[in-house]
Amino acid sequence: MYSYDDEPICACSTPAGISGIAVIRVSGNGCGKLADKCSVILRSSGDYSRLSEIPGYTCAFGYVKDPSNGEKVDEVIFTRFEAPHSYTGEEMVEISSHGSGAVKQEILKCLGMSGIRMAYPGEFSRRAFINGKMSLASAEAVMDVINSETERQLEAAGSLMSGKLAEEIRSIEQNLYDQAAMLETFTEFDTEDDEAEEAARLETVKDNLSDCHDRLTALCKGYGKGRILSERLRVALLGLPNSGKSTLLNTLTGFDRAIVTEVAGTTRDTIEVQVNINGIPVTLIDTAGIRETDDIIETIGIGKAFEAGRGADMVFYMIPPDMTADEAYSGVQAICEDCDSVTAVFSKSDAGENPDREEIEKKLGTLGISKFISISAEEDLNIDQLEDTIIDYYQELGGGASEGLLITNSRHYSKFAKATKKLSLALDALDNNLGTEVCASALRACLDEIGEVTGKTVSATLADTIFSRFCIGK
Amino acid sequence: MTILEALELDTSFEAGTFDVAVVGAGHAGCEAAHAAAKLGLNTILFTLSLDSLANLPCNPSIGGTSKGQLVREIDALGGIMGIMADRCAVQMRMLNRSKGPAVYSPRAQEDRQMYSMEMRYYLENLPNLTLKQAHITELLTDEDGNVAGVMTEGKAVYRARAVVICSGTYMEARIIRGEVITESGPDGLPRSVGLSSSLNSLGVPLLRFKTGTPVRVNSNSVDFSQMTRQDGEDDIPPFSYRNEMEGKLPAPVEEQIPCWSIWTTEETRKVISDNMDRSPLYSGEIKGVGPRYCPSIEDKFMRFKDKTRHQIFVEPMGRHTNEMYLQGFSTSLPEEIQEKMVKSLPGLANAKIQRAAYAIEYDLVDPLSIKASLESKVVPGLFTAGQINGSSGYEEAAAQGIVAGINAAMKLLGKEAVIIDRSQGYIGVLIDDLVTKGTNEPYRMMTSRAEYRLFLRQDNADERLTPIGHEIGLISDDVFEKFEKKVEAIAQETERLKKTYVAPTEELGALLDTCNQTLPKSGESLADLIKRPGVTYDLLAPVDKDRKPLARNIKFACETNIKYEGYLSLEKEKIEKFKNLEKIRIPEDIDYSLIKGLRIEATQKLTKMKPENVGRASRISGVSPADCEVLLVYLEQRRRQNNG
Ligand SMILES: Cc1cc2nc3c(=O)[nH]c(=O)nc-3n(C[C@H](O)[C@H](O)[C@H](O)COP(=O)(O)OP(=O)(O)OC[C@H]3O[C@@H](n4cnc5c(N)ncnc54)[C@H](O)[C@@H]3O)c2cc1C
Ligand SMILES: Nc1nc2c(ncn2[C@@H]2O[C@H](COP(=O)(O)OP(=O)(O)OP(=O)(O)O)[C@@H](O)[C@H]2O)c(=O)[nH]1
Ligand SMILES: [Mg+2]
Repeated sequence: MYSYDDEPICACSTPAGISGIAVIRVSGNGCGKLADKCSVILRSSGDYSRLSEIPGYTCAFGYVKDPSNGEKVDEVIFTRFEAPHSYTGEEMVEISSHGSGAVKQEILKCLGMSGIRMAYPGEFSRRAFINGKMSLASAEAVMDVINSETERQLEAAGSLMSGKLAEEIRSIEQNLYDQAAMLETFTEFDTEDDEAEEAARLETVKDNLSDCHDRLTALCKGYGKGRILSERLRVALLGLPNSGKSTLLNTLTGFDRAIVTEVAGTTRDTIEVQVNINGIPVTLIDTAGIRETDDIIETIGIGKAFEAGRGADMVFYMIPPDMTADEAYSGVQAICEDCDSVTAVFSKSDAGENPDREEIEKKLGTLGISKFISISAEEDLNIDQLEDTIIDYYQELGGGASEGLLITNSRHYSKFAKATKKLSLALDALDNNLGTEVCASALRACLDEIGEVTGKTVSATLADTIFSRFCIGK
Repeated sequence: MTILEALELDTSFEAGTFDVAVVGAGHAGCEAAHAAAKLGLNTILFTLSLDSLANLPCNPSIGGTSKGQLVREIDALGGIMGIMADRCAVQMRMLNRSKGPAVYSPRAQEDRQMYSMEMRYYLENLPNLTLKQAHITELLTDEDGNVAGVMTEGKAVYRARAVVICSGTYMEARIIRGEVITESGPDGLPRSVGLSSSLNSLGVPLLRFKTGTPVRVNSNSVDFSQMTRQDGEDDIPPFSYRNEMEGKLPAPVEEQIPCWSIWTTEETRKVISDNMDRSPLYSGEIKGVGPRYCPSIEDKFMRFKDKTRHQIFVEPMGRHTNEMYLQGFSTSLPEEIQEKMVKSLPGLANAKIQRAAYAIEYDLVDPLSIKASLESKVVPGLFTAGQINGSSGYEEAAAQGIVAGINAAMKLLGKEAVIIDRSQGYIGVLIDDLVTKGTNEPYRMMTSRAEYRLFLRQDNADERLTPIGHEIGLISDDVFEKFEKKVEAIAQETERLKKTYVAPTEELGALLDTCNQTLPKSGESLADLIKRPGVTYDLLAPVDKDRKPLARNIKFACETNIKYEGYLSLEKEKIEKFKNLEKIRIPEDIDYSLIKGLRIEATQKLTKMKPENVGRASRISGVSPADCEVLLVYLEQRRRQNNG
């Protein structure tokens, strides 16, 4: 369905293909605030930490990050424009990045996850024109832009959604339409069958909807997985000096890669080791213990440790037996904002359990940490459990799905993510007996999202499905 | 034919001058004439037979899923169907009680003859309205092609500045029972001859559809002991908000007449399949397109082979007749076969058929040639409403009738047309579907056609439409004041429910326990409690000490608004986006061929359909999002040029 609004939009404004530099434009009032979620400012004219704070018409150096895991996507230059003095007449941000197609897609995805939708073809120019930023004479040029961009998008869509993926999406969509039609016949017509039969049919609808929900979820996760499959899963070991990081690294790799001593501050630089865990390619990163220090080398090492945490898919945070709850809390707090999968590892359990364990679990729980594993690297206790968390994480990301099912397009990703959300609302409505029409309403919203990828419009398709599949009417 | 040409015909004469002439006194025509007259226009209403004014030629029932919502909307705008349906009901029910509140739908079994008589008597007494039994054969125009009046078969010429045609299933109608074909209107009434060719000669495109109706039997010959009884209800709101405001309820159940339900038997299936070769449908005799949602019984058996039986309802036709209607048993097989089919049904082995089933074919106007105001795009001043626009059903007809009546009046009063959009009512969905998508079968309303169904409920039609009815003058100040009080009461109570916190007492725990809910740890607002599955407004009465007694409809509205908040807001989001495009008007004199950026297909479709706004343009098949963008740019360009 075509919609017309003034929501923030984004699009790449340099031509498709690989060029030296790509410019991604974001427009719409409030777009700076939304883009804060996926941007990090490293250097700017003032001391600004957020994109939305940098003054209009100035640049800042920083990077785009994936808002779901804080991962750095690409280093970029941000430029901010204020309304009404911008190309479109709205608040705008321009992001200049490296030119590769993959990077552009990734940046657009991150913007999408921050609540900025993809522009329709020519929408920037149209906004500019409607907001009086372009002369009357340019109207026809704007129409040309709209048309040429549409053609390009149509061409691209054909190749983007190919083979297996297209099949899977259409099969999910068809199933959802069938369920929608079934719900409609429930809703629309006096029951013809007995109640038991009706309940059974409703149960089937529910099963089908949850199945579709699982498949959609898997597709969305596959979007993240595309990268991991090619780049390996990154697991960083973080913690205070002497907490047992290097020993764990050695145990996990199976040989003495890192130096282990009882001297706090032994590891100075990050060490990366490639291992295979249950066939999963993993990069383990040992880091310098984090503490206040005047030592220049150590300080640099600690900076690198934080960076490793930010760039990692998973962090193992080491909590030795003598660590207090407060220390654990502030230690984890410093890293968990940048990584969405932190496991608290109680180390050296052979030397005694941490007496504050319960308190620590409670405190870390408030930071959203839910995985706690007690190990001994020296005695090889529970190391398999630690490996299991890596395997689980990988599988959750969609590591089980087959290769052809990877979503690579950020627009598709954002549509399917929204569709998944709406589908779970639909399921809630059934679970809570809110009425089949309420479920149907959310299901339609879900189909609307999918339809933006497949091009089907709900109302027309639904009526046909109802009529062709069910005997209805008086 | 122009009015001057008409007046030159032999024996033609000037018969009167009116503001609005309504041709057809079915449900569409009656609402149209009522609205126009109420709005102060001198109106004349023509019918082929005053004895069957507002006839219910098919099912003697009004309302039902989505149709009940339509009746409430018509009433909220100031129409009469709801009041008449309340007055003549012999049974009332609220359908879909086991489903969600968006599809609760009132439905009544009506006394068919009383309905017709009550409506006629009411209209006879309406100021500004003249009733006339006459056969209209010509639509007359002035020299410029604008509507100027109508002419009867007897060459009486009536001048009118606007004409609303609501000819139902009468234009060039043919009745088909197996091999027997009769040129006739429904129920043995005369058909309309000539009017459709008059329309056609003015350039109005026509289509031909068909529909059908089942047999009626005498209740004395029916064995009800073999049927399942279905009683009415009395503790439900009436159709009309004006009746509801006065606390009127349906008649007590004992005074209502029951309906009955049965299932077809194996014998029914056999009789039908043995005689399929005699169906005019399968022999190709019927050319009109029939409705898919209301298939004949033979159609159901042929198309859905896995279903071995179908449900039939046996419904009363009124208080002073034994006639019973067999809902779900419409057929166009020959009468001889109909006898056998009916006798195969439980309780109907000795049934005496009083009227045979038949199919009817008729001419209609292609709805793609009309505007959302229901004015023709071809002949200015001509409005059409009801079955003639491709719909089917009394409620669908009445809904268009009131809109056509209002807009004929608005045009003559020099005011802007009233257009109800898809987010405001089923009326809007109905008309928008017809005029932007067209139809290739009689169009029946269904709730699934509405994308904002959770908002379009039978309980809030007044909130959606009564302000419009009041603004144009169909709703009196007095009624409007009562309506405003109701709205305010809902707002206040909703607010109170959100602000009132209940402590987690044992009493609350016991109440929540009845719906398998656990007691909250700390105080929780009444609104949050109502959001929990199974918890209702009434359930919480014991722990809600400050509660004042409120009317049922107010409690219901509060409960619904709170319980479904999350889902409603999903739809609200969509409505807002929808309205953005609906607001952007397209000037009537636009020349799409001048817009260079439009694709050829879009240019053709838009030129043909002349959508009133960009929203409607975007719903036309063949108009892409890019075309809409181009159109927006063009409209802005034009606006700027005109401004300076
Ligand atoms: C056989 C049959 C089966 C049906 N089955 C169904 C069904 O299954 N489901 C359903 O929802 N609906 C059904 N209907 C439809 C329902 O009856 C109509 O949709 C509804 O009555 C249409 O209302 P209307 O106002 O458009 O026209 P009608 O109620 O048909 O009224 C038409 C009026 O126009 C008058 N008229 C026509 N031509 C002229 C003229 N030239 N001059 C003067 N007056 C004229 C007639 O006298 C009449 O008063 C059926 C109708 C019939 C006849
Ligand atoms: N008992 C016991 N001692 C351990 C275990 N793991 C590590 N240690 C001891 O703890 C001390 C520090 O171990 P490391 O692995 O070097 O600690 P680290 O965290 O890498 O320390 P830095 O590199 O200084 O930050 C060494 O003396 C280890 O032998 C364990 O599981 N059990
Ligand atoms: Mg170390």
